[in-house]
Amino acid sequence: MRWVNFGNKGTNVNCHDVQEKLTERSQLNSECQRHLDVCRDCRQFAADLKLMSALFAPPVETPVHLREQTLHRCQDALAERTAERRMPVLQRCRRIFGTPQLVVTIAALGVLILGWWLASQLPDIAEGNDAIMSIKLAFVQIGLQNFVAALLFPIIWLMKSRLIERRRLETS
Amino acid sequence: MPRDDAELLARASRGDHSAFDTLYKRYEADLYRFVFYLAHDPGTAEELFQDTWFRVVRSMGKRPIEDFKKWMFTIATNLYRDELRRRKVRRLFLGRGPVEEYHESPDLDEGHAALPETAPEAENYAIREAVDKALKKLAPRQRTVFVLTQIEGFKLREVAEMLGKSEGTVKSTLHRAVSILRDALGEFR
Repeated sequence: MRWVNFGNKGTNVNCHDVQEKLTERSQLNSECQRHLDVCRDCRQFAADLKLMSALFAPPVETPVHLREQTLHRCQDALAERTAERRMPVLQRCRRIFGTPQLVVTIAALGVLILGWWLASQLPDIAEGNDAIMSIKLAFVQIGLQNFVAALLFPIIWLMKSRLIERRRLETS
Repeated sequence: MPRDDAELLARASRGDHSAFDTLYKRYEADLYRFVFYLAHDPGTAEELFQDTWFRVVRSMGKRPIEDFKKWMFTIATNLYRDELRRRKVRRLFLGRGPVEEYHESPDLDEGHAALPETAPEAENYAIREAVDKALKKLAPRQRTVFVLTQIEGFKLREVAEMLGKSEGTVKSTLHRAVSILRDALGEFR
């Protein structure tokens, strides 16, 4: 850090304290104010800070085309979002995931539930019937596989659509 | 934040276009100035500006927002950090990318006022150019902290919250940035 001076200049605070307060835009107490009145270096520091801030504020303006274009696109996005929120849940899911993905997901969940139900209808493994046990295990296996697929498929699809959407925005 | 920001935000999240327009008009200039000085490149600034507003539209109403401007600037800062990370990855894996552009001298006139005609204006222009050059020397984090505190007027505590850093870290980053910029202004004293 390059502070100009660290002297007290006859006050109870030094340049470091005052310049730190100025940088952090903290309220100067009376002692700091008194130091500022007598210290040329700190006054210069304050003037530099003021100049730096002043240099940034006025000249940058949003380009007109960007301002208009962004507003229009945001309004479209807002309208889309509002319409989406008013849609029934199934329709919203169709919109997010796409119809084929939704059908596959529902079918996978259906197989899972059916497999689970069928497996529960079979006699207990404890009864010692090997054939029944293997059928039951097969159902559980299919059910679990479908369950994983039902979870992963829409997630992967959603990530892919987000990526496509992002590319579209970048190129538009 | 202005008292009616929260109300405008609530109305906009329910789909009220005029409320959103009011918020947009109130903050678009602040946001553009912020991203312009953050990215130091008009192209990136435009992307950040648009992406921030889209993110605002997508996210509003999902959780309560105490300070709209602070929330929006946090989104912009995060997007800027994501962009820097993407550039780093691109450079790492592809050995190319817009990193060079990032260090190139940006065409600042695109966002600035016209060239000066009078002597005091010329002097101001020269100082501004010197500061622009110094700004390029700042690390992205130093630039972010400087712009947020000195230009946008956020408190150190707020900036620390926005960046997810401690107040002490933000403080030392700011002091370093100010020190670099002061050096750049030395010849104009």
